[in-house]
Amino acid sequence: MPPVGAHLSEEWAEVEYGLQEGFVSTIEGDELVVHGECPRCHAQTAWNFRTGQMDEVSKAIADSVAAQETTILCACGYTHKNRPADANENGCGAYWPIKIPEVGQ
Amino acid sequence: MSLADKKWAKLADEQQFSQLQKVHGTAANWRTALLAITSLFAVVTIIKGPEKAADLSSTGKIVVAILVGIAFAGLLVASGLAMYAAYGFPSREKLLTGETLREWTASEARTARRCLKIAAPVFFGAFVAVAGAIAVTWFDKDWFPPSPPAFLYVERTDTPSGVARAPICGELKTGTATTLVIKVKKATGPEEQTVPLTDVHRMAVLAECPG
Repeated sequence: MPPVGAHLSEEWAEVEYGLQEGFVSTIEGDELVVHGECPRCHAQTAWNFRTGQMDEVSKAIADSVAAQETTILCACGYTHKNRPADANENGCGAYWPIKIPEVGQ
Repeated sequence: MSLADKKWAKLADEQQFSQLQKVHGTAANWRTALLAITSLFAVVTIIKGPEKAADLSSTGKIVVAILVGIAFAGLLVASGLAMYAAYGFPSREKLLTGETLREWTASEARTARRCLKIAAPVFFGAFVAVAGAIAVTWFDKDWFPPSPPAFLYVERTDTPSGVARAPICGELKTGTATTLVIKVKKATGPEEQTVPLTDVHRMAVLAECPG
């Protein structure tokens, strides 16, 4: 296992992983942001959640979804070979479920 | 979990770019429906209103006028809010950057949604007022029954030759220092009868004429 932050330049591929742990949640601006390490390319990645109506994500809203399982994908921002032009993503292609962590834990 | 979950995650992320359009679309539909209902209500009220109002009691007329006024005001406010939600107003000129566009989009979507949140209950309130006005026109006579007219019952003195005169009962129209004019219902129709006060033996006010 490479150290945290040690990015592996894997080729882009839609690889499915099991439930990942070790993610943390923060409220940044009007979004709930979940940070953690991509299980495939091992880069630090973040996935943002917004309300459906462009409202600010309050602590109450964040708490209401805590521990819910959801799928996120790698958004490491690194270049990965063979990423299709229309992929509309900026990671290595990996995706995995997490349990949304409670903000501040 | 499957690849579909990944696609849904991406789709949810992309919603931020179409949110304002969706809110504006919803508001435009509300605006169209509200304006159509307001126009229909206005036309029906203008054409049928005076005719229906003529049959109402005075209390009924006041109640219907108030309810129709509330309904009109409510529909106009709701339509105005829906129009504002659908179109907004031109905002102050400022440098367009990704951040300002994002802030503006979020702010516009919030404003449009707030307007619709107010417009919807106002519309339903106006609808209730219309229903109330219709109910008053239907049940006016039950809810606001006309006060029964008081009838004047006059027992007359006998004629100088001693012949008894039949009592008169009817609605008092006018009275002078010497006479009373009473509207009497007869088989042939209402008829005004003048009674000299000298002929009056006794008078009483009744809710209904005997016989």
